[in-house]
Amino acid sequence: MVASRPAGDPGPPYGGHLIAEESALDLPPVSKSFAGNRVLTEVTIRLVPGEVRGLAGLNGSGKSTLVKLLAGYHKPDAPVKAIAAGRKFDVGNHDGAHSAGIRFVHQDLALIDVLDTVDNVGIGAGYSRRGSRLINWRRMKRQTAQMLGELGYSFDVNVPVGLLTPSQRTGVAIARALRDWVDGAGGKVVVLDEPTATMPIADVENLFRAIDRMRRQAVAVILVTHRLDEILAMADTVSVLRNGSLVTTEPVGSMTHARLVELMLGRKPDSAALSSAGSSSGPALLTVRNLGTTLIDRLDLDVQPGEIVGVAGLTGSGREDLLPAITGMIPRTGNVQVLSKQVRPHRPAQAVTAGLGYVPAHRLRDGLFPDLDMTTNFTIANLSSLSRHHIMKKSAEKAAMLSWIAALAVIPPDPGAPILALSGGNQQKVVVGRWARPGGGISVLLLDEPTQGVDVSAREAIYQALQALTGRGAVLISSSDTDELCRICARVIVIYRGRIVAELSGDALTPTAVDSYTLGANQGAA
Amino acid sequence: MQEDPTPSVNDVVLAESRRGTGWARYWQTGIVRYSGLYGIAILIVIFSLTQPGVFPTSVTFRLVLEDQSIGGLLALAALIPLAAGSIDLAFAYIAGLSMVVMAWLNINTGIPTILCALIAMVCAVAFGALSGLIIVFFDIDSLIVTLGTGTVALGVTELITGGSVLPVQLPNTFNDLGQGLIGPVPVLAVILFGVAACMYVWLEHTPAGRRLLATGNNRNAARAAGIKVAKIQFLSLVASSVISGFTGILLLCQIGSATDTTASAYLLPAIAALFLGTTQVINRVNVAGTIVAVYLLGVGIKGLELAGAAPWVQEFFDGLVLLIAVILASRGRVRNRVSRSARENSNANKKSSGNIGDVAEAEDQTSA
Repeated sequence: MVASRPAGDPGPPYGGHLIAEESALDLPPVSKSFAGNRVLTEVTIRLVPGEVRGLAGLNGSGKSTLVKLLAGYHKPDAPVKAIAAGRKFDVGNHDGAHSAGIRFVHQDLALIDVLDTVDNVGIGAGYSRRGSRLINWRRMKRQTAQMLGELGYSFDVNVPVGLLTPSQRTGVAIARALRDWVDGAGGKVVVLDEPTATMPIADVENLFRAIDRMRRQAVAVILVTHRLDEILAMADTVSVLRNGSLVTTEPVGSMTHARLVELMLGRKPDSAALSSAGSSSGPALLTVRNLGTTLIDRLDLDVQPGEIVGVAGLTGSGREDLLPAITGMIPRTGNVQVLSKQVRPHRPAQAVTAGLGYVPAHRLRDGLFPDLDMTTNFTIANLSSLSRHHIMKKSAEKAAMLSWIAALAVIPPDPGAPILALSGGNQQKVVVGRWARPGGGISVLLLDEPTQGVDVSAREAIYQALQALTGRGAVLISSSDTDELCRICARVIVIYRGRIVAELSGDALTPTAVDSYTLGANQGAA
Repeated sequence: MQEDPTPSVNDVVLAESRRGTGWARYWQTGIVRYSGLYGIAILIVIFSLTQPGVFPTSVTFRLVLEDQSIGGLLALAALIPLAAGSIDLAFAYIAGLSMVVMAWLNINTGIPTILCALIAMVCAVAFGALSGLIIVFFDIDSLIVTLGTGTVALGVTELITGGSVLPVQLPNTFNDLGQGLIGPVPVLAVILFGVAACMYVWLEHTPAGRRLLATGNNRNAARAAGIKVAKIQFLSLVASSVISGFTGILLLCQIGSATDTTASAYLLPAIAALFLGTTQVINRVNVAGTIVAVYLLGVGIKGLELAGAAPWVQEFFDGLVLLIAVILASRGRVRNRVSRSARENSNANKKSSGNIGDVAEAEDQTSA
């Protein structure tokens, strides 16, 4: 693929002297603040046609804000005019960006699973017509198949997209984004936002081929990804963001994995020797052996009584699969045991009986009962301790709720409040309390992104509740917030490409060390 | 507990969450929640004034209770699967099946009536279990499955009746069940109240009822909380068929003959009452609300009937009341949502200026 790299030198990050017509995209310095908080400072992007630009940066470095500015989802602090394919548009204006030919393939793809490729492309980007009203199905199907062919795919365009592989689905989304481009005009810049995050590694090759085809058709591509080896393998140039500023834009040819990590971190990667792993004696409370999912490859894990263990890893590393797989919410292979009790796959109810509590990452989708009140949401996981002869003891239930409200300062302090009347942080206090309350009846609490969308004061309250829980059991936290893990966990395991690559504790446990390992430092630069 | 750092803000939030605004406030003070009860009272006053000597009599009272008992029981039968998140369309057909099975056995065999009733129940429960198994094992939408099983049950019902009326001779105990009175109150109404009371306790005051409601409210969350959602879905359809089958038997006792369409005519009125009930008392599926809805419709229809209204008025009235109630209820919900996001916005503004999306984004940034 080195051979296919275009000769055009990307040039300096922003050169005002360059002729704008040559660029596929020319974005002058933009800044963005949220609530007085600078998240993007004077960032510029310049792409030539056929250039594949990797965009790298840690969580919170401003990558997604930059993409959202381009997409017109956010407005920059000061009005800025960018140029794409010779057309000027206001940054922060969705229609402007679209008519200037910038297209987006977002991580969730936004496909309609029950419809086939032809319809997904047609609904998203317009059907071929016969006359003014009727759809010309034959031409539409031919064009769709041709577009996918140009992207290097050959699958049946009449199969519902829900049945396609992840890379094929991404192909459909790309075809939809480039639909009007087939006719000559239209998309000249495609932004791929984390296209491989939920893709099995084997599938990534197919996506690479599609990107390569786009490059040859002189489409400029911005590839936003956490997987650095993908940038090194695929991109021509790479821009690194750190704390909202553009650190550098360089050709990939002169870049190494280690240097990229260093640029993202802003310092030498911290790769201290593996700290004493699994030194604690005595039988483990939670034992995981040979756990496998589509993203995780034969993972072993032990959690001792009284421990708070953290799990770090980038999106797509397999980290987000681990806890749902342990509880049986998603399919898995391997062996999970709580003390001597086996936890079978596909049986979340049995995991609860064995002593595993689970706080899901998607609170609204998997955590809350929206029409039921706060108390019902709080007690639902263990009702037996609050009932006698199969009748609920409402006063005991209310008392349990009130003492939790008092302990964590839940607002409003009204046990009968509708759960949706609570703020996100207070909802999370209730969901955590479902298991962590005295009488929750579990020995290991698994939490997925426990403080996502949770304000600072609620966070502290939740951390304290987790600390208190270690007196009765153990806690396993999977989080994309490295600082959080380093603050509350005694031990953090790092997952990279479906395997545990590091186990950090004591002095070795620093945010830099965790971030280094999540980025695959020490992995021989892929 | 530690002292609250910002009591003033919390007080405001709490007060607002209790008070609400606009329709939300009406909801919380009970105008909409108990609108059905007020409606019943208003209808009684209007009909008593317009038809003195005809409407406010003990006969009317008895007739309303009697007429609504079967429909009420069937609404309760459909309530159980709905509470578990499955819409059931088979309940009325299952009642019809149990009705004609019992009638056919009564006419064509010499087995004791109580045994006929039991066999009818078994048939009904078999259909409920069949629906449940198909829904759970093949993970198919309950609406479609129960449409299928219900239609099969209707087919079997037609096969048994052969399109004719099956008149039965039942022992007195059974006749009393369908037609008797306890004081001024029909036995059927007493049965309805008894079933409703048991179901109320079960749904609102037992762990099993809680798990059922939780399953219906959010299946994913119920699964994550360790609830066996498939088992609950299955059992909800079985429980529904038990009540449906029992109601079919009561219907036979009330009328004294069976046809293939007697019970299935209750399908849509029962579903209308059930959904009307979700707007009453508690803003979700609940037993008390369903009973209020049943009698709101019953009183209205009886009054119109006595005033000499044509038969079409019944359906017209049913549908109209349902529409008004769900519109009022949805207004309450919309305002609740609006007042909540307005509150979040004002909270966010206390921290800084900027719109909601920006603040949320900023929180994401700081958390990352």
